[in-house]
Amino acid sequence: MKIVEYSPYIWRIPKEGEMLVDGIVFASKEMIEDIKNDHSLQQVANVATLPGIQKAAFGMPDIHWGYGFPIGGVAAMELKTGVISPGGVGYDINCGVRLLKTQFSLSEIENKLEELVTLLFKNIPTGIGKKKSDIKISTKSLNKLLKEGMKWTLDEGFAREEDLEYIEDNGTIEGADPNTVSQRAKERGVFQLGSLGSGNHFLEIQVVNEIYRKKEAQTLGIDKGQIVIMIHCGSRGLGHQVCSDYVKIMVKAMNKYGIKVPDKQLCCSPINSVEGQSYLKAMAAAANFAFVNRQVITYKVRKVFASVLGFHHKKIPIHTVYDVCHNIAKIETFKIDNKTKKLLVHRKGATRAFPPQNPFVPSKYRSIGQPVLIPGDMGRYSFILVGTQKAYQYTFGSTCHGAGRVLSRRKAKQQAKGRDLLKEMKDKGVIVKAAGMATVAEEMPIAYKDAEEVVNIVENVGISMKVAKLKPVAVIKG
Amino acid sequence: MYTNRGFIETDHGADIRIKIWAPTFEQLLEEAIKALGNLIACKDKDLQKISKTLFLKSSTKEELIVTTLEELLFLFEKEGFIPLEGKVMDLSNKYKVKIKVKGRYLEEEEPTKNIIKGVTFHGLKITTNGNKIFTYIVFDV
Repeated sequence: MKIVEYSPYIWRIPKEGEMLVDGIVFASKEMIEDIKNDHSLQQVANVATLPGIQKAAFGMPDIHWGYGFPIGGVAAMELKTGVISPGGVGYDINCGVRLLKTQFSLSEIENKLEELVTLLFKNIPTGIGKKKSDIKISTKSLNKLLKEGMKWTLDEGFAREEDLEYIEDNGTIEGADPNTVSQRAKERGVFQLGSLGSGNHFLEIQVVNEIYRKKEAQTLGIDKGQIVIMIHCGSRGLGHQVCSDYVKIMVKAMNKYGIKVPDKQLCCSPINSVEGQSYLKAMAAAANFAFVNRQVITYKVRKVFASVLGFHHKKIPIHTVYDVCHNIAKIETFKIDNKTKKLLVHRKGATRAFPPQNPFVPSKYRSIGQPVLIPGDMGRYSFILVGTQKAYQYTFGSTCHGAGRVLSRRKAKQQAKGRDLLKEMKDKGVIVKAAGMATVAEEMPIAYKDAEEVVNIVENVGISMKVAKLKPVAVIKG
Repeated sequence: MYTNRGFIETDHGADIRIKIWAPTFEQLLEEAIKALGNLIACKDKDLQKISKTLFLKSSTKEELIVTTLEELLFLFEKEGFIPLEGKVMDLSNKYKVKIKVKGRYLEEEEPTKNIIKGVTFHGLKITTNGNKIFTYIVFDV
């Protein structure tokens, strides 16, 4: 497999062998050398072999070795001839990020920060296994939730009406069918609603550290020194089970449809097949569960802040800025060779980045484009960006999703040996509460690329623009 | 170079990858179970108090490995059951298996070494080298 520099920050894997299109990867010269050390470029080339793929298989600058698709991968499929691959969405369906803004400054809450973090950690379950959510719902209610997504949270009193406006697809992916979700998936999901999970998932209290674009920041209601809250999590065990169930279904279905893939985890079915349609309905249901999960966490955040700062939780000035999916497949409309086409866009560790004036961008933000939320590592910073016309035309309206790992979890743990990471973070001004030290070690800042380098590349390529930099002051992790 | 049977963690960027080897498929499956328990449990406890019997079926040997590990992950997520040792009791029909798994429950406030969320098919292929069979399993974490 060859990789050639096409233009600054753009690398091309020319079509060869079974590839139907080129691979395109966005990276700096330094970054591409690191990327070459894992298997992610081969995974881009593998994705390029999938039936119906259009234009190119894309790798964002946060690309790293995943399973099947690389993490940081984007692939759009033609609806009639193309396929849907659960591996192109990932196990944690609609793993995503929500950003909440407050009217508080750091100095206003600094002396209550420890109490806030302690209560958030107590009220929002983290980790896995026996730790269960305190939100109890019936199977009937779960089915309603899976179908309706955020509409369910309004009926149940977990959301404010304004929340729905500022969520990708208003927090409801159409076409969800709870009947396509297995009983086991429901069993796993029913006690995990409102929980953070583990791995790279987190809840951070952050302070707006830098504004790059004033007009855009003002439109989003973001100002320097303001406290914001970032929630990063997904569809928990329910989404994992949906992916596991359909990977097995599609491994079998590939024989039926005569599809061959270079890696079993790329298993797929034609979009219009029974298996493909069934997966899309189940995936939509799991994505709705993830939106609701982040909303229930939002509800808990509002309650904790209200109790500590002396507000009623319905009146605490904490508002949703936006909520984005990082792992999803969606039917969207783009122009290919001057023809308008509906395509199924897989984003696996990538973010939708729609431009100004796009009807899918909330009306309040339509003049600036869709907000893109990029979490970094827990010691440095995260970013708010906005989508661009170039992203819409070039990358199927997609951009990066995070920093991307540079150290494997094993290597990170080896390097953490003998270090007091909690103290190191505290010395940097970040309070960390975690369910286990293993996660803290795996997620320590040096395990990740510098998120600033990643967002600078997508800005240089023109597929999104920086609006603000956010620095963590407190983190809870699974 | 390799013991008769065993497993080792190898590098994988964002997830966990283990290499497993054994003389037979049954033993490979048993090693995979032991590897899963080893990835979860922080403490080296030999308190294998609980015994569970699983009846599973699949279409291929690779799928049987994934199905077995997924079933055990489900039991861990649901009950906190940590599998420490597996014994294949019956594999008379190629992909139908009866396995006895010994293990223990996660204790209150006991941390876990890793939080495994899923078992993938990524690169999963059973290969033979001399008198041993090998496979790699990538776990989603």
